[in-house]
Amino acid sequence: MNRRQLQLLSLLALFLVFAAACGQKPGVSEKIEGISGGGTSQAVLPAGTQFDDQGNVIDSQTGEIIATADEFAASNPDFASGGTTSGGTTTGGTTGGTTGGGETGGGETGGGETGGGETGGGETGSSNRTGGDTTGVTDDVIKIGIHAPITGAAPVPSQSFDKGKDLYWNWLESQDITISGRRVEVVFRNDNYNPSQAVTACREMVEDEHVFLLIGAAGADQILACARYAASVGVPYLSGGVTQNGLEGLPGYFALWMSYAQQGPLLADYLVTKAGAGNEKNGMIYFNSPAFTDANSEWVDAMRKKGASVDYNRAISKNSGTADAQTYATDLRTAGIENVYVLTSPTFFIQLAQAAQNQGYHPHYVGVGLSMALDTVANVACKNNASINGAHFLNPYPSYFDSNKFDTNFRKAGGTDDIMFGLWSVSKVLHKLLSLPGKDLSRERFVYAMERAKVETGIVPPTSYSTSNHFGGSSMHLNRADCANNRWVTEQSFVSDF
Amino acid sequence: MSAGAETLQAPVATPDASGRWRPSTQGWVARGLVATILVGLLLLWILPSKNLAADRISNAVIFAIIGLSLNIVMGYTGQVSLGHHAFVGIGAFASAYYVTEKAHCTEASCSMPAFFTGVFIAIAIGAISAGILGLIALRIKGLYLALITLTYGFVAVNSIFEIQFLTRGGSGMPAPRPEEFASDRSYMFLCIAILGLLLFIDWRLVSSKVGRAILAVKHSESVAATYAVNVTNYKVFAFMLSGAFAGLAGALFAHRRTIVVGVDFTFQIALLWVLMVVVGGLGKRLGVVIGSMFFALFPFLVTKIGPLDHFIRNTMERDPDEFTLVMGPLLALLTLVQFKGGIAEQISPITRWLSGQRFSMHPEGHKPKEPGGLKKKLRGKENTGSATAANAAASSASSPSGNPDTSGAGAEPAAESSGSIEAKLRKGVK
Amino acid sequence: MRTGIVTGVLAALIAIVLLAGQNVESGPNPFVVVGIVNGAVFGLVALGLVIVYKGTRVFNFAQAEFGTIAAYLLFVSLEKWDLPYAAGVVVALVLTVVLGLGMERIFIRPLLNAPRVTLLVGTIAMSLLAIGLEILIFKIEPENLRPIISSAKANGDPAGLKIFDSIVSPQSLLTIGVLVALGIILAYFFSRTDLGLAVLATSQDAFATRVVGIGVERMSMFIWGSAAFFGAVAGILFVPTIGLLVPGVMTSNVLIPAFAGAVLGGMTSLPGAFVGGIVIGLVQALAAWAGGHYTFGVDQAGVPEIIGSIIPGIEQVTVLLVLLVVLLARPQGLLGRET
Repeated sequence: MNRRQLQLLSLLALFLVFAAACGQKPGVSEKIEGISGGGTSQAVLPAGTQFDDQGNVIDSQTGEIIATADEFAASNPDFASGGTTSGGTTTGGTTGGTTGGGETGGGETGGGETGGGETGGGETGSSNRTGGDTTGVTDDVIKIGIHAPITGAAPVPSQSFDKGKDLYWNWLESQDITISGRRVEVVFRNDNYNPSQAVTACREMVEDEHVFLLIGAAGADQILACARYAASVGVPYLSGGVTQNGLEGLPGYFALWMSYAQQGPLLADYLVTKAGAGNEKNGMIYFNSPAFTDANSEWVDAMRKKGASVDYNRAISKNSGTADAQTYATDLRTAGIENVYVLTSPTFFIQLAQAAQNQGYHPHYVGVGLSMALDTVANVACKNNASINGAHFLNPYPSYFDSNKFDTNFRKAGGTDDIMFGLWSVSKVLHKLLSLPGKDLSRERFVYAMERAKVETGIVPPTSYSTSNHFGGSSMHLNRADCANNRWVTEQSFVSDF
Repeated sequence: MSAGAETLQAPVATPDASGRWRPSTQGWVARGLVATILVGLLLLWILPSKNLAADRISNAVIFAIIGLSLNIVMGYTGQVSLGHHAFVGIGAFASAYYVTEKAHCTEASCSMPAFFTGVFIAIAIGAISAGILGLIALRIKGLYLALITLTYGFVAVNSIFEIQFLTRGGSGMPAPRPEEFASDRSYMFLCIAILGLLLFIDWRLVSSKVGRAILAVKHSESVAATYAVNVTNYKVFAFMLSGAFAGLAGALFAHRRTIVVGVDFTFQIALLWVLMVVVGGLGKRLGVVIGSMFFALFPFLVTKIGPLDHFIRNTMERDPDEFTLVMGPLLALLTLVQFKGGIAEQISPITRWLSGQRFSMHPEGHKPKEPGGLKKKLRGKENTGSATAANAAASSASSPSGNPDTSGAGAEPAAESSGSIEAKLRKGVK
Repeated sequence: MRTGIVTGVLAALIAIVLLAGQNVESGPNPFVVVGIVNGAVFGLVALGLVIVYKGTRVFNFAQAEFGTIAAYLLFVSLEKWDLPYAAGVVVALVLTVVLGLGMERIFIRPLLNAPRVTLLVGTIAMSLLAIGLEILIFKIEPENLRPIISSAKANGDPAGLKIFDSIVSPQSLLTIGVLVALGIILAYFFSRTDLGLAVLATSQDAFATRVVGIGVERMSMFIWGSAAFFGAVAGILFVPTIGLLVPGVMTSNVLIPAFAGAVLGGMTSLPGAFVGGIVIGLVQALAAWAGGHYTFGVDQAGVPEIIGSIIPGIEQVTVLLVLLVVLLARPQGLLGRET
């Protein structure tokens, strides 16, 4: 046998091996057809009704059963289509799902390779009369996943996240409060302020940790990317209010507070009414990303409607470094901008404020979103002579300094900073939301309940959702940077206009 | 896949009529057995992988492809590219852009033709952009080219990857997979198959006229030119091939995560890629593949070791990913200072034995040095078809197994001959 | 010849400054000041690059990272050990130089006779290793480093010098001063002192140098020690002005422009590095200004689009263009002489 023949033979063998390997791939042909999301739901929970323990819809006064759980689930095809797209990649294998799958038209039938052995599938099967997708829910545990940027965007101590994610739930447990007999287990992943890593983090939480739902704590681009992924595998996704571009119309997505676009007019209102922006020069600087363009256009429109001018409006690269910070600070200074709306990462905000400080330029910084109004940001940015002193940011929860005015339990439970307070606030909202569907918690029922939910916790501003509106917030807190003490203080709470 | 590489190598150094030592039939059987066991073990480890594990293996395979791409520039042409993240990124965005914006794929629906068209566009664009750099590389030599590539990568990340209608800026461009490759497992097999194909291409290339010409150019451009090698064409060709590999790796990279963002391509990762190729062994195909995969899998492997994982996560409160940036450079420095030749050199006793030579721990194997490697190679080039002896010598000169009879230019550690480029550069500058 | 070039460059710079200032009401373009302040840091790092290149003929990719290490050491001295600022600076400088010498001994010395590309990869590895260790030790959480001289007076007014309506912070003035002083000292060192000449001789021909009785190892030690020192000075001066200390901050922000500056200056010329760094700073700042100032066409909403949004990262693009033009048209740079 000569060389050439040997080479060919070995090559042939190699491809045979691959061919054999590829032939084995299961779940590839098992594409699960489901009802695509986005349709309107017929059944709206009538006023004065609620779920009972069996998941039936009852009249809250008389206790009369208005609709059985099965009818109810069938009437809500909106979301009952878990795992429509990715076949084998979805978590699949929830045995509970197959029981009732016929009626709901949903539930994940599961790829062959992932089938079986899923958390809670078997146990909940019997009680799960409505079918639906109960991944991540057992008789005593609900598992949820949170992703947030610990690195890459803001000075966030990771210990705060580790402690904060369980703080509220541990406190609940110590008070013997459960959600229909279940406690909540939280899985956390760092997304590095990078959308593609966020998707990987969310996949991990869905595929390996089998969480019931996902939460994006902060970071518009990451939330956008993860929400799309979550929608493609039929996992409910909640996030802080960020963008509406691309999130509107996703069946399982809900914003826990006002989106950036919704906050734009509110911020404009604040600027004109309280900060005298009508006679001043105003500008905006924001990251170059579709996730921020709606915030930009809404704010600019609102400013112009109120008769205020917008004299500087610039989208900047997410990679912007210190040289860029100097450039934009000089730009803003020479343009004479007095109110600067900053919609970037906190790290860039810090650099910008420092560069402005070096030039003796102290504009009034304003903005939205929770990551800027962190005490650690104030701590770093204030250090060099108060470069962000007096900045005003709309925030979904009050400052840590004022936390006792809103919830005394937080500090009693051992909360020691605002990151923990943020997680505490979100957990409190989540507690309400997870209680809504009652004992029979499935993804479909959760989404159904969400679409009719009105939530008020006293910390995060109240929200109300409907089938057509998944962005239910209408008010915010207003925080001010207090550089004398390196922290933020809450000036006004639950404001919907100024 | 390295499994593929091993099966491939067996015939590379098959002894021929040149009177070399060759193993007996039992020897071949023993070698075949060992190779089968190695490949079998590897397959046993890979085949059952699903979900996260499969995803990590896909990532490692993509790193291996990037390693092969860099190896063409660094190992075969002796240039340094610190901007490979630009080519990988351009490929990634090209494929994602086509699939999302032109073929209108969504997460739920993406057809195979659309996907593969995207991949081919990525290959083409990667090749073209690297070809342009290759043209520049003709004028700028040695260390200065490293600077240009570094800056080019910087520009790509800060400028090209920020053009919103092409890349959607910070939100990233979705890169859905076709349903046939929707599961991580099937995608892993796709990646492995592509790596196998690229290994084959790389192997055939190096043992062909083109490959020998490229190696000759690396050794000495003027000598190569005297042997009627078109230096310009071969250099640009090598860059384009490297760019094509990188573009392909980029497309796989994008579709692996189903979304691609400019911030995925930091200069740190480009430098880490350079180091992984050095650790693998410049110019040594198998070593590069192993080195690249090790770099990619390192954090994953750490989490597999329970106590170590516990120590990192709980005692030190650190992410295993963060250790890659310490381990990688350390390994690279060790390779440079202590273990010259990298992984390829360390495993060469085994690979040499498997490829049909006597077992020897000696780095040069049993064969004495043959003088005039370059001349021999070029002679081989002249009569490619018939002169099997020369052919074998030439092909083994850069075979991944680190063959002993690699006395010629191609067998030198790449860095050494790049020194001559530096010398020339100095001359040129004067 | 060289005088001609220098005059030409200076004339061009003055022309740019005047032209760029035309559209601004109050005096010359403030970006000129920004550019010079940034350029001073690039120049400082470029000085270190040139020293290493003069001494060993290799690009030192770890040069900027010496700065981050020093900044972290200063940060630890100030915040964790509560040292006074001056003591902190001394600690940071000394420890960084010791670290530089250690790196030289462990990684560079064995590679002294290796090909240049090997050394280049070695410096890349050292730079990444430093970043990796910074991440492990300090995490990616940003910190803030105090400046030597506060940028605000006690009453809150900005301190510093007012130049054409722009305020230059004291720290930036200090940076420019240190750059000038170090440039002069180094130029004197390499042209007038025995040690300086010995360093140059080593870079030319290590064997011949050894023959005349100069220890190549000692020279290598000296080169890397002083490179670490210059990197550390740059870091200590620069990091406080950006308000943010994160792993790899100097490498990602300064290294590439500094290289561009050094190449522009000729890679072997100390005054060249000085001028090159400042020119790159100016070019970057003016490109950024032009990108935000001039418009081209309109976007969908009918608003004129600024060039900066058509070509994002315009300052980086210009750096690449400058590098390409210099390397293709005049590889020896503005002031370079192949010594």
